[in-house]
Amino acid sequence: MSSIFETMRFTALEIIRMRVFHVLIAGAFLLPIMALIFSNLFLFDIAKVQADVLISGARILASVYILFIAVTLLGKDISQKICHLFLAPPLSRFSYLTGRFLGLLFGLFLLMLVVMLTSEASLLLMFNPDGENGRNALPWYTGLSLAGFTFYQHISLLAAVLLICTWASGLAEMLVFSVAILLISWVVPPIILALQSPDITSQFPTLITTLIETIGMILPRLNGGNIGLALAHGFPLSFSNIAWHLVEHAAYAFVMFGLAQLVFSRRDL
Amino acid sequence: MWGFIISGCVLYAGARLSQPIVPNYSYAMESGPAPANTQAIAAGPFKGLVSDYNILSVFTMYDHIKKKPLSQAQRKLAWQQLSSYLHNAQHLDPWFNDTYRLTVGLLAFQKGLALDAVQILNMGSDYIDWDWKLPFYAGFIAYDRLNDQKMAYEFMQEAISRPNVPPLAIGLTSHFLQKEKGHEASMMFLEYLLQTMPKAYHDPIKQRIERLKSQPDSNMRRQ
Amino acid sequence: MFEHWELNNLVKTYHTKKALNGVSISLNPNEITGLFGTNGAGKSTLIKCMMNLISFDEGSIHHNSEQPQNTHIGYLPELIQLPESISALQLIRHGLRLKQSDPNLAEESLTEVGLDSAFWNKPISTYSKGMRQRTGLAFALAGNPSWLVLDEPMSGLDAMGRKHVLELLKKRHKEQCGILICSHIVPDLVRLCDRILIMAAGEVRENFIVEKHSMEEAEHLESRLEDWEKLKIPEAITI
Repeated sequence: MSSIFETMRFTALEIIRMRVFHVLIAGAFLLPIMALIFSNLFLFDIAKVQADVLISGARILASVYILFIAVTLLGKDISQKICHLFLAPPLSRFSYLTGRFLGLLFGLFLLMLVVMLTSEASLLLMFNPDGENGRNALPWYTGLSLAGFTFYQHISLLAAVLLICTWASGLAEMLVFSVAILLISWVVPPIILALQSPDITSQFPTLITTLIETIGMILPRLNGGNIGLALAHGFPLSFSNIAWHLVEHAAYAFVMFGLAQLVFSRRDL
Repeated sequence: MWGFIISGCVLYAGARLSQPIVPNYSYAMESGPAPANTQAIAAGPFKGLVSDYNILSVFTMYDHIKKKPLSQAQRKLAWQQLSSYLHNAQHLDPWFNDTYRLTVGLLAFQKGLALDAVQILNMGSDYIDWDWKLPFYAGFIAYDRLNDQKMAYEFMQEAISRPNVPPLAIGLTSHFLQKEKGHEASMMFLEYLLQTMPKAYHDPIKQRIERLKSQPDSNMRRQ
Repeated sequence: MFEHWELNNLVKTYHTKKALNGVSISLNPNEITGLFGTNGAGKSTLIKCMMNLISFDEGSIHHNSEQPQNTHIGYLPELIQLPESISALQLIRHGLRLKQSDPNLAEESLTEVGLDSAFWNKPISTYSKGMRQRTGLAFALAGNPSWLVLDEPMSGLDAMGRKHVLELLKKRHKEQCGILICSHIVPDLVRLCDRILIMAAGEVRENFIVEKHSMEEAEHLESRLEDWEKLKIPEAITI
């Protein structure tokens, strides 16, 4: 346990000292300013537009973190054989990979914490409490919710990327597969939603519909059932929806993490 | 080497400055928005933001229509594109209020686009089922612009059955349903719209008020 | 804490090429053992098998330790790559914590390998090749491991640096640390090792006992390797 914790601590230290991470943190600080500039182009639902920018920005930051920090760190570890240095006894492969995963999660958590604080600060400070035209329509915890959901949804993606990195053979391959899984998991849920319409279903062969639905089941659902839109409008989310969403992502992350451990334990490094 | 860099900078700056900041209008107009389903797929988890971009395009389009000298055909095409942007914004984020406010403020008073406005408001009304405004707006447009009493009745019935409906809406509804008071109700409602819309979008509403004033007969609601 | 390694009939195949072809050796902690051979002889593959970094097709590796869970092995990989964003001091402290040793001994380890103290707190991305090699060596040496497994530890070091490392390894051996070292540099091996295993074509061809640690022995060793290399028949190791 102590070696897992130590590897996690060291991974977090590595991430915190990376220049890309500093850029992402700077991005988290710039996000409310960008949201303010963009939302002021609109007329009525200014708070909603600001929340849209904050949510989209948080997602982009989380995705960039996974692609350029998690994949790079794990990819260099495995493809450039940095892990050889650490994997001498007493550190086991299981402890090493678990520690790395937890460290990467901690880095993402830190990033989302900054997003949450800057978002909350902007929502509280920039809007006049007695404002008009829906300027103050969002509840105070919107920043917390959007950062929390973004963090939680990206745990499953991070676990999927962990599996890719333990299996793929080079940094370029790891990046390509990780980008592909990210894009497909963005694009497939709206396609599946569109396929529910009888007009569209009638134009598609059943085989293709089934194939798309199967891909949709294999990948994590980053759209989160329109949670982003609900947050942007300040709608209350039902407890059962939240609970099932959390269970879905936790279960997916567990499966991916388990598979990654299996692959890594058998892999020639 | 410095010569190369400096000449490159000069060429780049020259190329940038020789092009207008605002892209060629006809190009922007002809390209139009991608279909709503395509946008929804491409937007992925950024549906809210893409919806905002559609609304931003509506602003740009309206600005072009107002300020640029356009032929009749170009103007017609521009209004159709504007309507498509509003449809897309509604499809991507059905809870976005700006879409409906702009639909009422812009589409409703444009020749041939009133039905589009009713469709957008009707679709939005299904999602925003706690608010009386959308079905009421749809009912008003059906009454005033489409001259469809039956449709107007259905929408207004729906509006006054919703929670927190103000006495103004109930009063206006009863006026609309009495033929002789419809003209007066229309004027009142348009005045109400003027108070709630930003100045930039007052022109079509004012034009409609002027037209109604010049047509004292309550049954003269056509263009 | 002083353990023996027993490697029996190890076979490792990469695609169609046998990298190890029935290697059986016994490693005694009381002596410094060297692995010597040309590129592709199987030295690094053998070390990776011992460190459990790659699997092997046949054979077994036994590590006779009284407390296997407490076994600490200091390993220096070939062509070492280090995390770029952190400093040497942070890396060594991490190594010490993993080995459940006092992280405050990191400075001592870095001084021992002769890394300029002005760089201790700087990111590894700013280090030269030699400095990286010293940092890797300090990582392996940290926490008093019971065995040191070093794959080309002199790579990237100048003559003074090599001499310093040789002295350091001798000192560690006297402090009861078993050492297995793999190198292309014959004079260094001869100066340091008590026994040198000559590897060619995936097999241990000769067990050479170093007696005088002299240049003559180094020259003899090189000529023996040449003899074994001449005997190599590629078809014989291709399956």
